[in-house]
Amino acid sequence: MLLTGFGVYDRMAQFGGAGTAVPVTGFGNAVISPAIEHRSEGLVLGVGGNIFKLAGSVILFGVFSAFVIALIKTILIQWGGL
Amino acid sequence: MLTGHRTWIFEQKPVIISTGTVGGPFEANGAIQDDFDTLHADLWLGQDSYEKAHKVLFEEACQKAMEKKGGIQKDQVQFILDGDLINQITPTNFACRTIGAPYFGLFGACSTSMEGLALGAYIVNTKGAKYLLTGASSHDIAVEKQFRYPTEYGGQKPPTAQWTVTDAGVALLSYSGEGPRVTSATIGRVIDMGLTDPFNMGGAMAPAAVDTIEAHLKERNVEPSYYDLIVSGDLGQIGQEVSMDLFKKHGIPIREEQYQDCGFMIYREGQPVLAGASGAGCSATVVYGHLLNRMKKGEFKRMLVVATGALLSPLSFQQNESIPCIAHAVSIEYGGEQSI
Amino acid sequence: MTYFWAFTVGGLICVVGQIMFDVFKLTPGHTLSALVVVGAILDGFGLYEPLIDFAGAGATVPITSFGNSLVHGAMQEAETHGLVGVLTGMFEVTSSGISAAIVFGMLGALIFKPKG
Repeated sequence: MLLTGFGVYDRMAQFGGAGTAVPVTGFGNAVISPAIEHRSEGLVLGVGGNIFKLAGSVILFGVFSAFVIALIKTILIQWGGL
Repeated sequence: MLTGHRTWIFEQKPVIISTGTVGGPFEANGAIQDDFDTLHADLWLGQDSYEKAHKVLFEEACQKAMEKKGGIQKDQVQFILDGDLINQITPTNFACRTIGAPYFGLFGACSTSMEGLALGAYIVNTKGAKYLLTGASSHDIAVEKQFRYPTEYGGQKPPTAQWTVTDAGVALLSYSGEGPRVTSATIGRVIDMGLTDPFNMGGAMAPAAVDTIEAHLKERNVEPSYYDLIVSGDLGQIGQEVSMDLFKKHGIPIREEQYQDCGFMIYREGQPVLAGASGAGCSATVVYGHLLNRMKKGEFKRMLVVATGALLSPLSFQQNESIPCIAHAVSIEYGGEQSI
Repeated sequence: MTYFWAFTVGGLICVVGQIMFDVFKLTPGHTLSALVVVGAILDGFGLYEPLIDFAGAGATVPITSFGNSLVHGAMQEAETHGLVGVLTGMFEVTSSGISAAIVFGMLGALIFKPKG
C-alpha cells in the first residue's frame, strides 16, 4: 500500500504484470488506489463508495465459492458420519 | 454547399484567425513543446480535483485564442462549439460558464475537434456568426479514472494501449481576416467493425478514418496528392498500420510520408506512451498549434485533418458491446494557389 | 531449498495469471476472482495445505491463498458449530488481511494524492 501511495506500484506493475497483481500486495494496491483517487469526491461517497471498486469481485467470488465449498464439504462430512 | 452525400465545400473559406493551445507536464517534455501557448508543470493546475483542472485547461486555451487576436472580448464571440471525454462533458460546460458565449456542447470522443471545426466553419461560411470558438480538451487522469482504472492501480497496459493527452486546443474562426482557411469538411458515419478491446482503440477507429477519407476524396473530387498532408487524430501505431492496409486494399494511393498521426507528433521517443497519444485534446492541440505553425511558415499548403473517435463507455464495454467509431475530416489550406 | 520452491511455486501461479491476462484477455478483476476461486476449490479437496507445507510463502502470498483461508476458516467453525459455522467462520483467518486493507486504504486516502 505504501508503494501505491508513493506512486511506485503502478510503474512496477506495467513491468511485472501478473507478478504484481497476483500476490496479496496486489490486493492492497487494488484497495488503496481507488481510495486515493476518489478522495476528491469526499470521504463518505468518494472513498467509501469506491474503495472496493476493484477488490469487490475478489471478495465476492472468494466468499461465495468458499461458502459453496465449505457447505458441500460440511454436508458430506455430516452424512459420512451418520 | 453540399457536394456528394456528406461533404460541405465552404465557398467563403472561413479563416482561423487565432488559436490557443495549453498542455500539461508530459506534453511539456514532449516533441512539440514550443508549439504550445502555455504549459503546466503539474496535473492539478492549482485545483483540488483533476476534473476542475481539466476545466481550467480549456478556459485558458479559449482565453489565449481570444487574447492573441488582440481585443476580441468574450462577448464578441457568437458561439462556442466544443467538448471533451468526461461524463456529460462537464469540464467544458463549467469552462463555458466562465466564458459566457452561447454554447453548443459536442460529443464526438476524440473526433470532437474536427466535429466542432466542421460545424463551426459551416456556421461562419453562411454568415451565421462573426466570431466563433471551437476546440476540444482532455486530461489524462480524469479520463483514466472514468474509463479505466484509478491511476495508481497496478493494472498492466498492453502495447496497443494509448496515452491520453492532457491538453486543450481552441481555434477562433471568422468570416474575414488573415490566416489558414477552412475549405471543406466531410462528416463521418458511425462505423463498427465489431472490435471490442478498449485497450486497442486505434485498431477499432482505423476503418472509420478510411471510410471518411474515401468519401471525402470522392465527393470533393480530388486525388490524395492534392493534399500535402493527411493527418489522423490519434490512430496510433496500430491504427495507422491498419488504415494503410485498408487504403491499399481499396486502391487509394496515399503515400506513407503524406499520412501522419497527431498522436505520434506530440511526444518524443522514450516517453512511455505505448502505441501513441490519444484524447480529444490531442488532435486539437497538434493541429491548432504545431501544424498550423508549420503551415504559416510555408512548409505545406493543404492538409486534411481526420480526427477519429471511439464512441464507447465503460458501461457499454461491460455489457459486451463492441466499439463504434467515427471520423470527421476537415481540410485546411493556406496561401498560394486557389483550391478547387 | 524452501526459498527455491517458494520462488518457483509463487512464480508459477503468477505466470498462470499472466497467461489469463495476455492469452485469454481477461481483466485483472476476472483473473484474480478466478484465482481466488481456484484456491478455494483446492482447499476443498484438501490440496492447498500440503502446497503451503511444500512451498511456504510461495503458496501463501498469492491471492489463491485468500480463497484457501476463507474455506479453512469456514470449515474450522463448521466442525464445532455445524452448518452455521460455514458463515460465521469464513472471515476468521482472513480478517487481518481485510481489516488491514481497509484501515490502510483509509489512511492512504487521507495522506496521499494520486499521481498517474
